[in-house]
Amino acid sequence: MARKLKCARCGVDLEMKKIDFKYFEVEIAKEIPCCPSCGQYFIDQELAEGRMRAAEMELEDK
Amino acid sequence: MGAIGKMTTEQKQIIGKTRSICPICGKQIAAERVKIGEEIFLEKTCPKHGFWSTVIWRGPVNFLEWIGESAALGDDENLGCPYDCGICGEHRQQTCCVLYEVTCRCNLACPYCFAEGGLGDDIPMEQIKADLARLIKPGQTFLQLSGGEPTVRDDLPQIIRLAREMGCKYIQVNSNGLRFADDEPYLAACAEAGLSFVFMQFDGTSDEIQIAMRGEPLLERKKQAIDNCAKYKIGVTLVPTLVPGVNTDDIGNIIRFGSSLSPTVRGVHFQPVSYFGRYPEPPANADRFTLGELLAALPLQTDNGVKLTNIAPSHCDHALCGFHSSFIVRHDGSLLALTRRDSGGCCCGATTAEQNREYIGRRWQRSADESPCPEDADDFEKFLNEARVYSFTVTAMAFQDAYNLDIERLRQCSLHVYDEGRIKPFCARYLTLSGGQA
Repeated sequence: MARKLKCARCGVDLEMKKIDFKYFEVEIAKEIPCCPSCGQYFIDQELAEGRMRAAEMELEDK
Repeated sequence: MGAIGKMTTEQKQIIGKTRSICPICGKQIAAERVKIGEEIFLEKTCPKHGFWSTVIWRGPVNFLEWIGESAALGDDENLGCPYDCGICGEHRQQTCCVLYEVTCRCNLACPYCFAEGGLGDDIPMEQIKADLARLIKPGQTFLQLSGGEPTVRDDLPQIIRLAREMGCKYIQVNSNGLRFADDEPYLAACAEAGLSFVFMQFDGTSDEIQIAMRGEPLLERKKQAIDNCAKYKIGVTLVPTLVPGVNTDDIGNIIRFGSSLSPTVRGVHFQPVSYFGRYPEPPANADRFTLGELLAALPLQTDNGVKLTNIAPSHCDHALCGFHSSFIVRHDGSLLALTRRDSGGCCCGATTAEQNREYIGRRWQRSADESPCPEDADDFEKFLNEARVYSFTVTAMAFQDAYNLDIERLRQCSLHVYDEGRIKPFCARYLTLSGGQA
């Protein structure tokens, strides 16, 4: 993480955690920043509009 | 019609209304979709030529759930169909793929063929130039060069180059593959000219099937054609015509054969036999293999590698015209499903011809970059790389003939044929009345 991110709800520093993205039969694991307190995670714009969007295109007949 | 004779009218349930044509005089007539036991029939009566009943669905998959909310044909809609076709303002879909016949000659004489084939002069190159200029939309067009057998033309590479220079986005050759097997420099010239992928007639994984369907033991030459396409990075889609009792038990074998040759083989496109062009004799219902039966056969014959939940009805064409299913071929040869029956299309359930064109175009074309992911790539990158390189589709198209023609389906067709300046839906263009009248 280039910058320290804090959870907007809990105010604690986010920590990198491996998350499983599941869609139907496909599972994709990736480390992303998560709140150790409430479990909320942060998906940055580059991932959301880049690789996640491309994966969605493959998985949703687009 | 023998099966109908055994049924009483009480057992019949009308589950839909549409219109069709009389297979003898061709006149447009009312038709009903009728459920009798576990089978669905298209039934119609011509005032002059009598009653016709053709099976359109068999098997455990629920017919009405499969077709979903398709718009029923209004009483005053498409009354001139298919005879004023060209295509008209009442047609409900744009062109996904346009088929262009470059010859009527063929190097086989199959018992089954949508194109009647035979002898005759090829279209001169000047005419081809003029036709392509009319039909190609730069940056968009998905062109299928067909015939006859297009590879009997020595100048096919020049035609491909011309189409590419005119801006065709995807160029597909619909071929039996024999010349690509026997004449590698010819394939190399087609590839160099801009061929995107080959739609290869492939009816089964044994010579017994090849002989029954095509009159010759062609299996080794088909394999050679695929090997040659691999050398030039030309994607191949295997296209079996399914005939009951001939190759309908080979569906799973064909998928296993195709996926074992990933990434060259990009998918299998099943076409249940239809009766137009050239076929041995007028069809009985036992001569038909419905889309429902194909759907049932896929999980059974692939050991559930292709599940029903992975297969989505066409959203571009009518649901009774076909389906699609997308996979990744994993390193162990198994298929990872990417399609979900309930996810396709946009929020309104329809898919544009452009969306469909890109869906199949980018899957049937081999990836320009097949290099493996870098060591440090994350799982998203690895997934996207595999989806691009090892994509594999299982698709189907059920063509219509004079017996099972359904105007509701025809008006939604996106597979079009260029015919003397007009664009016509495939099943309208090749419609053959009983007795062979086109």
